Amino acid sequence: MSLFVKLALRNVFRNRLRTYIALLAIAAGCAALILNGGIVFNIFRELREDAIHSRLGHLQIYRRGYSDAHLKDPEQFLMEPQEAQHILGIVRASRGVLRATSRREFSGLILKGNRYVPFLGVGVEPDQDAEFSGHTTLRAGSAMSTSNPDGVMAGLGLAQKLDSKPGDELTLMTITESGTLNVVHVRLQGIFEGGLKEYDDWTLKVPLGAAEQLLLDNRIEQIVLLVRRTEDVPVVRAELESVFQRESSNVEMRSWDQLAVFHNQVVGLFGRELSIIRLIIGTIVLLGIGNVIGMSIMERNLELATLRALGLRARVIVALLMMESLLTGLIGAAIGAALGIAVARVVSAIGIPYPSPPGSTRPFLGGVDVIPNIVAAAFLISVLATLAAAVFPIRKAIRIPIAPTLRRG
Amino acid sequence: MRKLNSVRDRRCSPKLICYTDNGAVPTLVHSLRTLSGHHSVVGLQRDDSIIRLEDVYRTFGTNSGACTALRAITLAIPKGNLLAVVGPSGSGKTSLLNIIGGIDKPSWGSVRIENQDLVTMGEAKLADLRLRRIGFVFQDARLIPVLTVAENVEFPLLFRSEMSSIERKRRVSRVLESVGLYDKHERRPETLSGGERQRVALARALAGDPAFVLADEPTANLDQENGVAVLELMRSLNRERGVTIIYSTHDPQLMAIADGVLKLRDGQIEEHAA
Repeated sequence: MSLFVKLALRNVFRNRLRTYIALLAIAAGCAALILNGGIVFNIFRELREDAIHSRLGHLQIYRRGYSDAHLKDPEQFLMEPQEAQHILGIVRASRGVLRATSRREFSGLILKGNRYVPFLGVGVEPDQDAEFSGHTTLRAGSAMSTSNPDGVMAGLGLAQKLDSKPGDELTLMTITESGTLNVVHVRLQGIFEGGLKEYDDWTLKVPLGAAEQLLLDNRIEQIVLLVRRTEDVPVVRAELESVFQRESSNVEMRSWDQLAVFHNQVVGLFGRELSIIRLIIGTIVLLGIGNVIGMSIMERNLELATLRALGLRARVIVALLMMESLLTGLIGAAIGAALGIAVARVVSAIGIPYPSPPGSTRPFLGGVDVIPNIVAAAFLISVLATLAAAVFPIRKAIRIPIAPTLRRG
Repeated sequence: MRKLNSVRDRRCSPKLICYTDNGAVPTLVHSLRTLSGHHSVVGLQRDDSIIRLEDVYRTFGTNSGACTALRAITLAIPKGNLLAVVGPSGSGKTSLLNIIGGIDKPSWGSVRIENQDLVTMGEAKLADLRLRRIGFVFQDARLIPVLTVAENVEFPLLFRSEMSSIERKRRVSRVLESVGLYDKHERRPETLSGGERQRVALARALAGDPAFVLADEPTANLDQENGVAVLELMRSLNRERGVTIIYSTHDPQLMAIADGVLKLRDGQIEEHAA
């Protein structure tokens, strides 16, 4: 280690009590940033995984043009069964894809007794649905299965509107493509809670076979995929898009983040809040240690004047004092990072019970995620705040005249 | 001289009024020079002088609060000299050493070190000159407490880019041996006596092979025995290395070892005895 760095390091620990106070302030700030970021990220992740594993999947594949125009003319964007099977074959061959399933969305009325209730139907493959509903809570009854082709599942709100319980018989009514009214009889097999109130109030999951009978149409609307890790979505999407392009397939893809409107709104809101918190914590650290650093520099005015008398240029003094601040910042931030990670692990092991987020129907047990980017940002902010806190005292220190300072000494 | 004259002309504007030490009689600077009676010129004719001061004034403060610490100082100090600057407190010893050392500038006059004009020199060049050509010993050593003896001596040399690490270590060892402190090179300053600390300060001043060393009352905080020992060491280093040493003291007993004595009173040279 060079003598210059050695001197800076020894100066850092010259007044141990004051150094410990500075380190504590920096470490507390750094840990607070890590914990705040980790908590917010954990909430984001919970919302994200809820959206993916309850409703959206990671990726959805439709006929080209679907996203822009399916509301005007939904029939135009339906895939023939062979076409859907071909696409399923392609996506299931991708190593990044964990599961793939077909869906068909439609709307209609449920008749129970003398009560008519509108619903949004989702035709699903019963044996695949459980995999795509990992974050869906089964409130009553049992999940769908291929052995029960007329068993349907209603969202909690819809079931309440129908005043139904598992085992009840329901009549589904809809208008087919040809304009005729069609009816099928199904049995309520289970009641689920998907996390989003609006979804639970209107959704009825129907086996694809029953949906075909109701709609008199066996075409598929969308193919939904789950990939192994949410972080891999862009890679898998790019890979599949290149395959579809090569095969000139008439399809388009949407990823979960393009579809999860509620999630994106929450992330936008909390993301802004996180930036403000970072700014506030950075300012607190800056003000907290500014005084400590200022005092440690001011009380060494005589020594600094002596060094300048010996021939050290002002910029060397600046470098020495900045080095001291940098070392203080690095040590404090390292302690803060270790502390933040340790506390995050402990808190995650215990769990933080949260009430239902806005628009959601379920409370959840959260934790603190340790995100490398957040840890790195917290570390950097702490070090930069320490350096910024030193700027003013250093400017003051190098402006003191040498001779009068030595004379006063 | 042309530059000096232009400075003088500016300084002599009627706005710049100096006050005598008792603060009673305001007068123009040039009038003060004339009125002061003895405008000391010491050794100006010598060619081997490394320090030349001509007509130097140093005034602190402005208007009614001003006081003149040095007035009409003209002197030349030859190479290899051991010069004692003596005088009572407030006589201008420290002001003179500060100006010679380039850590303060005169209000008036010319200061040349090895033929370089300090008055017009920028701060960075002055720092470089102090680093390479001037050694300083302060009244209370002013060592860095967190560095060892050897590190204290080595530290200023770090900024001599032409010096390798090996050369630095070699110089530190040599200079610590010459002040008799090599065996304590790993000690921290607080574990040394006052006399030893002052010897370390002397070693630090000499390590860069300066043209001259300025020691401002180096024995003021020492007892008589240690004070004499430090000055004896300075004299022997002056003899062995030929380094010019200028030290200030208000103790008449400590001027005996010097080659010359410069007596100051009220900021003026009262006497210069070889």
